[in-house]
Amino acid sequence: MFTGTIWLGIGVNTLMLASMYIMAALGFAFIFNMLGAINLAHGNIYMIGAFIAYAICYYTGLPNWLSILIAALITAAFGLLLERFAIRPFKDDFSRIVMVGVALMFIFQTSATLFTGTKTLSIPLLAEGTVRIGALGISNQKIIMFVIAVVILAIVLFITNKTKLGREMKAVSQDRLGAALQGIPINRVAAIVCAIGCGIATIAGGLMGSYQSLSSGMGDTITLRILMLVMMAGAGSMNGIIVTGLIMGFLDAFFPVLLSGSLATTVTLFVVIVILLIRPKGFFGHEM
Amino acid sequence: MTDMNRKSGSNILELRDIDVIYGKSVAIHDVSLKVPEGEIVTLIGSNGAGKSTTLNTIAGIVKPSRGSVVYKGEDITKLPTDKRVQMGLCLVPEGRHLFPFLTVLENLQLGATQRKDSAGIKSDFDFVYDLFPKLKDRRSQKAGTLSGGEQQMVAIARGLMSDPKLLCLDEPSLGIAPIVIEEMGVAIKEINKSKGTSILLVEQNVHLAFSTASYCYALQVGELMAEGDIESIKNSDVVKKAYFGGDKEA
Repeated sequence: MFTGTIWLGIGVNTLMLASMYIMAALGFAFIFNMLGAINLAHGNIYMIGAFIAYAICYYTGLPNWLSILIAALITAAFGLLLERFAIRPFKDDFSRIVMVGVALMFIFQTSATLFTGTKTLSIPLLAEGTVRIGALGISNQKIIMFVIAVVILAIVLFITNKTKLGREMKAVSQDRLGAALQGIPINRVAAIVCAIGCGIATIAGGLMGSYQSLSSGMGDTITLRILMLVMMAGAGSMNGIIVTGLIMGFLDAFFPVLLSGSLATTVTLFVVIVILLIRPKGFFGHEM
Repeated sequence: MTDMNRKSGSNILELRDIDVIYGKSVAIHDVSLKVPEGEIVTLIGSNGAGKSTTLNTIAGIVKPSRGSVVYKGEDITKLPTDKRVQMGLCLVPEGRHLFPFLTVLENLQLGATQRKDSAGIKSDFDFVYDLFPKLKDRRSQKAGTLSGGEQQMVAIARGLMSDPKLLCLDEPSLGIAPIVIEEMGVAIKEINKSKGTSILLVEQNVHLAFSTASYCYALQVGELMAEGDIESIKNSDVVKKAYFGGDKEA
């Protein structure tokens, strides 16, 4: 039905979208695995981070990549506050942490809408031009986004598998009381993880804001993806997030080829719900 | 025997008039006890007597509503758990609470997570592998796949990796085979003897408790009902009656 070129194009978009979804989801997934707490505000850090990067770029004239990096540092610092005041006090109470998350989502979105007004904002492209493979053109922007994501994921995998912080994260996610009794400062580990997660989500948001335009709704779009891919992966799974990120990326790359905009999203989400009905606990459980 | 080692006045741990309340129910009331430096003290009592609550209070998992916890002469009632571990106070909890998807080695490394002295960590690895040779063979195996007895060994070994001066053990005999319980008793005495670690052993298994400790406290429904040397406790009517003659507690 499809030509090789179309499949190749879907493949490229799958990798690009998946890498952004995974980066955006990491902070949420780590906090969820460690504390069992759902931090709904996390997806909107991706959006707010992109807006901060835009503002830095626009008002100071700094290069786009540096603006994104500075925005990531700012939101990482904000992540420390987020853990301290929005997660730590509520982490053991499901309904309260969800309410706080929803409230923060509205606050972030309204702030972004007030800032944008009716304009369409966009961070300048990181790279112009395209690479041709046969009939398919792949923009350099997509390639750069993917490479940055792979480097960041490699660093994150190194931290979780080879460092003391990673070992402590796994310990907390596997047995919180056991971890506390070894003297692991759980709140401090959670704060560091939240900060790193917010920084990485901002990089993903900034990259997407440079590829597409910025909108205050991009936080909702990504929050939905994050929830879906973390639930599909199953609690406690790190490698699972990479696989389900790829599944999510594929669905979002594939259906728009067949269907128009919002119908494609609807079908994607429907497929995910069917997957969750078949595998209610996700594909992977707990190797973390 | 260990009575000879008792130095008057040097208690590594002292609980003073501790009350712990969960919601509206009193878990322990007016509990005071002392662990002299370098000794093995046991705390016995039936289910729900408040033994674990007492240990959790010592470790800082539970905050008392009255009374104080004094460790090495310092009031630590308000200190968080991680600071207490740094000071050498370690609890091996009931139910072990291992990291099931990590290897034995990683579990042990996490026991030493707050330490910086790599030489000391290395010699403690040698010590725990000597104490429980099985763990050395199983070091690359996931902790969750071990037998109950082996898991208890990992739990104690992980506790030892923090280089504790006071080791609190919460029912190490729970759910493990009688022959392994014997091994546990030997290991507990060995830890005390060769490292000089003070030990507070909470047990329902009075045989293990009496064969390892030199001094005993007995809890009943949240209150201390007796204390004394092992011999005197063994022969005390009140303990015999409460412990072996059934318990009215719901």
